Amino acid sequence: MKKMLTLFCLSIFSFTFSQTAEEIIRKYVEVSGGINKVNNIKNFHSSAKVEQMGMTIPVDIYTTSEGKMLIKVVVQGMEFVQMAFDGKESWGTNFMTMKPEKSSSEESENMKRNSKDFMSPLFNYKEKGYQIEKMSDETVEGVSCFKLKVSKGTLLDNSAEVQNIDYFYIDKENYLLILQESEITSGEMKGKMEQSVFSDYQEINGVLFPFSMTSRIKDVGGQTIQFDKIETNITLDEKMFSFPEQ
Amino acid sequence: MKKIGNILNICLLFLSYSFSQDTVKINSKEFFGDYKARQIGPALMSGRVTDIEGHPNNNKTIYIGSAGGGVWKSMDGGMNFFSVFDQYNQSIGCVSIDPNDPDNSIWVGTGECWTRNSVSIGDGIYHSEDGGKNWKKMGLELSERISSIQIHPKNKNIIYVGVLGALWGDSENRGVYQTKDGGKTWDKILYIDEKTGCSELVIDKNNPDILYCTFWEFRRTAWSFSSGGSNSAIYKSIDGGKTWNKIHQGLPSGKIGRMALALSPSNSSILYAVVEAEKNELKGLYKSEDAGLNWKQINSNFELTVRPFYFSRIVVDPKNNDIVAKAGLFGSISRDGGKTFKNFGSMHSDIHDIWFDVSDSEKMIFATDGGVYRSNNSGANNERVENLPLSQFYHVSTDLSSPYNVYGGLQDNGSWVGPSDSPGGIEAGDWVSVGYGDGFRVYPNLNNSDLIYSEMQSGEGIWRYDKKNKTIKNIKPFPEKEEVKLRFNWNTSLCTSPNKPDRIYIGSQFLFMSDDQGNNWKKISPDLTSNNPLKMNQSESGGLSADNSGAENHCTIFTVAESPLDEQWIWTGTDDGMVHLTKNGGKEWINISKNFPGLPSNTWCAHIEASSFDKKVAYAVFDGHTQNNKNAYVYKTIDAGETWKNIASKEIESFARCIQEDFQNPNLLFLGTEIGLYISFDGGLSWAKFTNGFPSASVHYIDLQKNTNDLVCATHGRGLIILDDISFMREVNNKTVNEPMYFFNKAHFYINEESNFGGTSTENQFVGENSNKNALIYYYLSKRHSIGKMTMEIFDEKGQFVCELTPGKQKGINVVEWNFFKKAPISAIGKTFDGASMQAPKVSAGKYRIVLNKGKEIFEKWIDVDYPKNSVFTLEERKQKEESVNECVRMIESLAYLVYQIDELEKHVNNQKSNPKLKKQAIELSLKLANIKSNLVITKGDNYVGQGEKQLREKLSDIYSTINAYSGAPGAYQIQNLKDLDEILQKEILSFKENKSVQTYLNNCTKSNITLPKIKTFEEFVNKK
Repeated sequence: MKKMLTLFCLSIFSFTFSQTAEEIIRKYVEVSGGINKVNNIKNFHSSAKVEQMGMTIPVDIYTTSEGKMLIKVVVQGMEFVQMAFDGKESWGTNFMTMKPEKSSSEESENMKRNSKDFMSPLFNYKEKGYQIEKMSDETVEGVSCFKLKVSKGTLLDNSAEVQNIDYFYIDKENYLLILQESEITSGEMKGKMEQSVFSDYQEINGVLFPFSMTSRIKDVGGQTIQFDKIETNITLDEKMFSFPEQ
Repeated sequence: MKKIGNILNICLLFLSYSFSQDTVKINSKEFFGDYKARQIGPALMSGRVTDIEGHPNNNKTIYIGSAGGGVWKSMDGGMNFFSVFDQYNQSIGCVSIDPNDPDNSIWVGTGECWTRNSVSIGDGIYHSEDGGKNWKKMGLELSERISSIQIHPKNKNIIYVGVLGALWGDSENRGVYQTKDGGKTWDKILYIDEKTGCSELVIDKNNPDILYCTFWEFRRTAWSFSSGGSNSAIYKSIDGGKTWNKIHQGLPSGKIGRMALALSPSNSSILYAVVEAEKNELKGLYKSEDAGLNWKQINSNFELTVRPFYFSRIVVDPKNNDIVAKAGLFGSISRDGGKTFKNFGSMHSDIHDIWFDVSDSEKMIFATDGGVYRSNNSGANNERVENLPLSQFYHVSTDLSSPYNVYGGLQDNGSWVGPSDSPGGIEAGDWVSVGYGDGFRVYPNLNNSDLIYSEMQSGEGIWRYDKKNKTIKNIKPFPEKEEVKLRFNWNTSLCTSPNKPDRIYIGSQFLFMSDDQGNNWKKISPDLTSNNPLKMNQSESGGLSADNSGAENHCTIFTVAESPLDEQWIWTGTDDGMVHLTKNGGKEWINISKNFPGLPSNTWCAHIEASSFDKKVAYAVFDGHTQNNKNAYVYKTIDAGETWKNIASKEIESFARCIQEDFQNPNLLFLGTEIGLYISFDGGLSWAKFTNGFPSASVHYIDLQKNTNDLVCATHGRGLIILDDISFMREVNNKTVNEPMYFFNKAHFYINEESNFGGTSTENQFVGENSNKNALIYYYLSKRHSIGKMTMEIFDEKGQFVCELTPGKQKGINVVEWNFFKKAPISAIGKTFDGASMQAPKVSAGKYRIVLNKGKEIFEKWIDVDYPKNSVFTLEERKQKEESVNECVRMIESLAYLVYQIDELEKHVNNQKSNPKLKKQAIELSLKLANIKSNLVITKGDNYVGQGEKQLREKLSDIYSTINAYSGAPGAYQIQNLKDLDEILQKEILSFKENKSVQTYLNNCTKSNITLPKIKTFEEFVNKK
């Protein structure tokens, strides 16, 4: 509730004077719950669903502050891992065999390099060594936004080091993150921008979480994932992140 | 008294005109939201590419600049390109990669420099610091055409820019510019005069203080072109641009025209220049082997001297200074330092730039009038890039088919007809050629769309093509005996009548009308132009190189509009600014050219649109760019042309070319300008640029399709762009845009039942997007929904839940699509996916309620869903299909419930395997359950070829998907199959219910006080909400 009040106050007293990237992020963090509450979260589990062609597909997502991640999907009662990462290796279920398979070593390495992005790359960006830059304001989702560029080092593409950059669009009125985008750095879609659009924010243990996220390639229709429940700091069996013993 | 009455009438008309509407001002980026245009290309003929720039040490990264389609980037060595410059000026002079940071720092100079008649105009220089993802304008806004950008190889802040400048008039904004602060400020460091611009600028990368440039004196008018003058020259600087010296030792004296210039990357002493000279024998290739001190003519082949204004580009192999490639009609290459050349192999003619791969210079890329070509063998064999939709349309029209077809002609790429929708998307193979040469206006006969009228440049061919019978008749009118020569514009004014399907018009300086599809013509006007002989010397056009292609034909009728309300009312506009109206089918013509307040005389009348609401109402668009005037002139009359008002507002940032009035709301107008599409909701009081999926490309013509309300725009560089069903825009007014939430009226949708086997395109071919066939629910939100839940559900007339949709939440227009699906049946859980049962059934025709839950607020809208018009299926057949599908769903879910009960029991049984009392029974029952289940669903194998034998679930799904996928009645054999399977299913259900082992086990559990498995009811199990 306190966060909603902060949000309300920021909306009322939002000024139009030029703000630095640092100030924008400070307000974004404040609106999100404040850095202490954010840092208190060590992991979270989201129960979600995706509507597709008349089917409701349940999805469960587990992430930890160490960058571990598991995305489980249930189709026709059959559960499979769309993607998992245990801090070292990335893997997922092969749809044909329904057996786990490891991702390429380069994909795992890139996951590792992005593993500091728990909750948001903007939280504790200095400690992560990220460089930020304020760009020209842009309108997204009909809303005038601050645009921030976050340089996070490099990723690998066929053994070559390529820049790892995210762009953040933060609502100028209430400092909520509306859109995050980054360039696809390898594969068939290389060069295209992938985007995540956030909405339906709700407060969980003092921290704002988006309960709706649409993932898409820029200018192409996307897929929305709707979160039903988010729980933080749960007891996790760490084994679930690791490639299963065969 | 009558006169006073007339004056009073005019005043009253203007009063009503002025006060009848309120301004509906919208912010385009905050308003249009989800509503996006679709780009259908095509890319099979692509369009003119002006410049190629490759990464200096990564041959995978290539940029191309185009004449009217912006900048495109490839990251795979030229296999695929994607657009990186949509929001900015689409006419590109050059692209330059900063050698200090080639992965990120890219400069773009706008304004194409291949100065043909149809060339567009740039608006400055742009810089990207992230490889093209984001751009910043860096000044030189008035430069109009930037020919070259050279960046100091050791200091990214020092940049030299060659500005060719204005084509259609004098300008001091040309010459060589330099910045020393990365583009914040610019100094003009070499200027000749207001007629002579920098056409090429070269830096010596081995010694960046050395620069070379060519200056060109040139000018176009609407009726002539002049290349050359005494001020054209080559200059050299050896002090970083502080001082410049003319280096002409060995070059021809007298007037000079356009020159190409190249410095060998591997030897800084060697320069090549291609010179347009006064004397033909002195034209051609010159070479210097002492860094420009002396020049020697070495070749004057046709390919070297042809059309210098269009082909002045010469490129030296990065590793071998004897290999030189020259742009040209076909292009050519020398391997002996320019002594001899051979033409490149087959590709689209008119080559403007050539790129050698930095690591293997036999690999080359070519920029042509027909897009980009790749070669692996020095241009001998060439392969076209098939994903560059840069087509340069001059015009578009549509027919009344369903789906409708689009017709149009392209710069240097003929005339075409293609579908607005096609299985698998609109592919290259869907387009049919309907005209040669440069293509312009193409119209179908609306009574018989097998008959197509098309034309080529300057009316040299005007055809009636019978697509069905494969006959072509040239229907071009000829002058009558003793009559003067007919003058046809490059883009000849061909059009059809909105009242009589077999009537067509063709304008030369006279207006011709045919009422029999062009078999016979009647001249229905005198010369309607200024008939100025000073503007008719096209044979003298070109300057130092004659260039009489017809592109400069002038004093011609350019636009003709017959009123849709009265076939006797015909409006004409000419390229020299004359506007006439006849009210009696051409017997008398009223010259209304002087009635346009604020319009400079002789401004090109680009388009007249006769209103659908009142025959006295018309719109006239004038394009002054050929008089060096880039203002928008958009006039409206409500009194048959006696008075006109300019309705162009300050929001329009460039000159306008065409206008389209809506058929239902006279205040809804669409304007094609040189930098994109503008829309007005208030009759022209204010305009908003439409940018969603619509690049800042030049819009040459617009057509509003009568059945679909699709707005089809012909762009000159980005192909055809369609705004599907603009009908919601008719409701945009100050009331609707001030509502917190507003559902637009459209509420009648037709179920899409089309099915096909898809298209034939390969991975790297462009495929135009089809229209969206789903129910599209439009609403407007005055504020974005960011906090709290927002959901959308659909219910049927009985209040039964049908499905959930994902609502849009943005400020502005949201478009939610519903594919008419209900929820898919719940299928039994097996070892593998049951793909066939994943498809949901579609709803029946009827009324449905859309419920939008936004926090505590609820908004509702009823929609009507109908079966397709002209469907081949009867209602009785549909009823049979729906009953069978419902039966299938019941069976699939009954089986799923049975398997669920077995699974729950099995879990329970497994837990008792360690219970000494029940262990034996549990083990036995577990085996029995597995055996039962194995007959119901696949319990082994994988989802590919290792799949197990199909069981009841898969058999049921097979028949379900077969019946469900077809909108007609199922066959008797299908219904029988369903009955057979139902019998098996009922037996299995009964068998499980009466299974003694199960009964005994459950009784024993009860006796042992073991909690029985919790089984949901069937209703709970199949609850889909």
